Amino acid sequence: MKAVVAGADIVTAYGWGVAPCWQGLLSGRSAITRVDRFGARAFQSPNAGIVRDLDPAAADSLVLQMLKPLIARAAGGIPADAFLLLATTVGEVDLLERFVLNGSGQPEDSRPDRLLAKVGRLYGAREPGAVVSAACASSTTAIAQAAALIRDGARDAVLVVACDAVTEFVFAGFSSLMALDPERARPFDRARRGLSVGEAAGYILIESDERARREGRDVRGEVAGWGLSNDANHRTGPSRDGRGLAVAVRKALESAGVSAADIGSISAHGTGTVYNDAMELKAFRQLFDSPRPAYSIKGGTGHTMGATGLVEVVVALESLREQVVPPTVNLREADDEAKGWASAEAVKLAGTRAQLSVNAGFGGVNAALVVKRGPDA
Amino acid sequence: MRSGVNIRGAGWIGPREHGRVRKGIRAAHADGADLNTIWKGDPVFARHAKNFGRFDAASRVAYYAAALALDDAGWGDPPADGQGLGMVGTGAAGCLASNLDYFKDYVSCGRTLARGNLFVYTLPTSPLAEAAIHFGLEGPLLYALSPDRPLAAALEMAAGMIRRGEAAGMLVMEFADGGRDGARPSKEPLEGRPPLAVKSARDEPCRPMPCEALCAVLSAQAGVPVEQATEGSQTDVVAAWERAFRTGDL
Repeated sequence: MKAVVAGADIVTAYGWGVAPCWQGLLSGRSAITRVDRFGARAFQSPNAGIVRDLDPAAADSLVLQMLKPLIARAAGGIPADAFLLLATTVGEVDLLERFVLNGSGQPEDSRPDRLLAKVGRLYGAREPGAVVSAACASSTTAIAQAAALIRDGARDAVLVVACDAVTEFVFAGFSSLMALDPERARPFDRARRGLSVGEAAGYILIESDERARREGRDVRGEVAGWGLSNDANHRTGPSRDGRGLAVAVRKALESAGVSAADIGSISAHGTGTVYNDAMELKAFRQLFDSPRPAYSIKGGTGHTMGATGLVEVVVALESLREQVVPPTVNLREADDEAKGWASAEAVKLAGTRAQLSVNAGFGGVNAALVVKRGPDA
Repeated sequence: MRSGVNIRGAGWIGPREHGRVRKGIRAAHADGADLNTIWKGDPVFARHAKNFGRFDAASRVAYYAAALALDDAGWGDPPADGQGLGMVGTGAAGCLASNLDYFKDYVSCGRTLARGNLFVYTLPTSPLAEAAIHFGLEGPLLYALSPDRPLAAALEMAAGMIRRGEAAGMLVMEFADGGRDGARPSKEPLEGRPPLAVKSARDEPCRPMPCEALCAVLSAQAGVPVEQATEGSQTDVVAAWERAFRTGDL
């Protein structure tokens, strides 16, 4: 039994849909702009990856403003019996902000189970579903769980929905940790100084190959393998030696029944912080005999936290379909350790069938997926 | 159908007592004990967590519950195969109390500088991560909430990971609001008020057990089958598991 991607859609700072994001990344243009949603003068950076036209004063939370149109655009393409997995780090935390600042609503409005119920109602889910949260590896972990449910035969359709928004809550926090690049994140760059916060939402419908065939789905690819691990090292910083991420990747390769030699390209976590990017490159060196074309999208979209894994899988499937690795946006001069891996230019692939997608997060979480090309690519 | 995964042991921490299920041990917290001082009692907490003083309430409870559970499972501290052990946490409120604590503090300081040490606890996985760091648990780590059956679903998820070979063992930890949440908010808005007039939860004395936790250790070793987990309050679940270990039948 295979777990295949039978549908997907996203919204990022590049706009609504997969195509604007993919084209934006290919062009090398960053969608990170000045924050106008709250005062950012006191913070380390004035910039973030913002989805235009979201209204912080609207009745709906920011994430729900992103999810409602996305699910509506699916136009009945999401089956009601698809088991819902909602991936997020802070969800509707702007509702908590409103309570603290204005006394409106209740703090419990921001609880993840409340958002889960709202999302389920958007497509008429038959069951309540589950929230999955693993810091910035939340949606990667949720996709892994979805694929596991399919391969175990427990489910034949799982809808993974992921979302996180740029809020003062989150922005102030990252600034307090001195984690932000004052301008725009430059993953794997010699002069990188930190991350840029971003927001995004999206869904991936994962079905068994048998069900997708029966329903005549346009299969975009396969979630072929997954691996999860923890550094058990520090509550915010990754393990310096990359060993934990390497463990997650080895588990993913084994789960996919492939070897490192079968991986033609890598979607890195690539936040733009000194330590994360260095850690990833160390991990890649432990795993691969020679460099692979690797890229990060976070210079373009910003770091979309709980949504980042899902957005990156969607981009990875485009990369496999088009047989090109997008440039790492904002990369000007690659760190010595990144030379041969990340590039400021797009890189053509030749017959690559499998891509590795990795994410890491606070608390030492690591998550890796092996995604394969769709059958008609 | 049984997964072949069993509950090897469990620990719990409640308002007035803490305990170990397989060993059938219950102990009252020492007089006047709160989350700051309970570790000075039971010897199972002999190896105290580094940076404990900076932990939020949920992280302290997670540390205690994990220590009790690992001891009950006979796995020691640190467990011998920490690399193969992971954690799944669950609980309806997520990290709501810590979120409030952090943001109220930020607003009370004039919305110009947040406290990083409070921000790092605004993830539902943070308490699990603190326990993982202390005990050296390098397997999968995540928070998962199925609202209609949180503990059972978390146990099933963890059992699935063990069955598929993704972890040698898993800790499953359910948090519950102890009912005396130190971060219970005032309805008055904070915007526009003089900063020092606003109290955050950290200004209040540490209250006993602002949350409770039950932690089960799962593995393929002998124990009670995970399929026989029960729902209900944590008191009900603890009582049911104690009976099962006593009688060998759940």
